[in-house]
Amino acid sequence: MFEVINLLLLGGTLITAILTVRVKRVFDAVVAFSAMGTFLTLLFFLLQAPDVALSEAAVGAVAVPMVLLIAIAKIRGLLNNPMEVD
Amino acid sequence: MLQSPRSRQRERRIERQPEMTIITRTIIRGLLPVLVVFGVYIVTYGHLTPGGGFQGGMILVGAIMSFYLAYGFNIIRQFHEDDLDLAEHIGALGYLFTGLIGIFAGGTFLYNALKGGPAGGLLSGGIIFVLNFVVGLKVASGTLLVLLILLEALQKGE
Repeated sequence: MFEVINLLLLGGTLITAILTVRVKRVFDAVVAFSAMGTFLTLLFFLLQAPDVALSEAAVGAVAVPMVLLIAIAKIRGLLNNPMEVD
Repeated sequence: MLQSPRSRQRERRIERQPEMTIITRTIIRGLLPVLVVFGVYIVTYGHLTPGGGFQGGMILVGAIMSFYLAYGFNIIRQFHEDDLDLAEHIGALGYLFTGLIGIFAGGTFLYNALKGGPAGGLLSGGIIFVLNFVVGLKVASGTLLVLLILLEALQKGE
C-alpha cells in the first residue's frame, strides 16, 4: 500500500519537475515548481523525515516562489508590456 | 497565447490593484493568528517534535507574506530595514554568545551548560531551547529583509 503511494508521489514529483523545465510561460514554471515542492513534501513525510518535510514545505511554498514571482513582476514592469513575457 | 483582449485587460486591472478581494482578505485575516501560533509552536517545541528554528522562522515569514498578498505593499512597509537588520544581528550574536557560555562553563563550544527539566518536558532541551529561538529570529528577519528589499525594488521600478 505504502509503496503504491510512494510511487505515485514519486511520479508526481517527476512529472511536475519535467513540467517546470518544459512549460512555455515563466509563471506556469513557477507554479509547477511549487507543485513539485508539495509532492516532495508529502514524499518526505511518508518516508519518515518530517523535519525535512517541514523545511521543504516552508522553503518550497514561500521563499522560492515569492522571490521568483517578484522577479517576474519586475521584468514585466521593465519591459513595460505586462502580458507579453513568455 | 489564446486570450481574448477583454480577459487580458481584466488581468491587467487585477495586477495593478493594491489589495485583493474581500474573500481573500477575510480568509487571510482569520488565518493569520493560526499561522503565527503554529510558527511559534514549531520554534518552541523544536527539540521535542519535528521542526526547529529554521522551519518555524520560515513559517512566520510565510504568514507575513500571506498578509502582504492580501493587503498590498503598504501593510508590509511598516517593517523597517534597519530594525530587521538589527534583529538578524541579534540572532547571530545570540547564537555566538550561547556557544561561548559553553566554553566558560564546561570547556567546549556549545557545551550544554543550562541543565533543564525532566526528559520529555519543555525545558529538557538545555541550550537547544535557546538556540532554536535565536535561529528562528535570525531566519525570520533575514528572509523578510531579502523579500522586503526585493519588493521595494519592485515598487520603485513601476
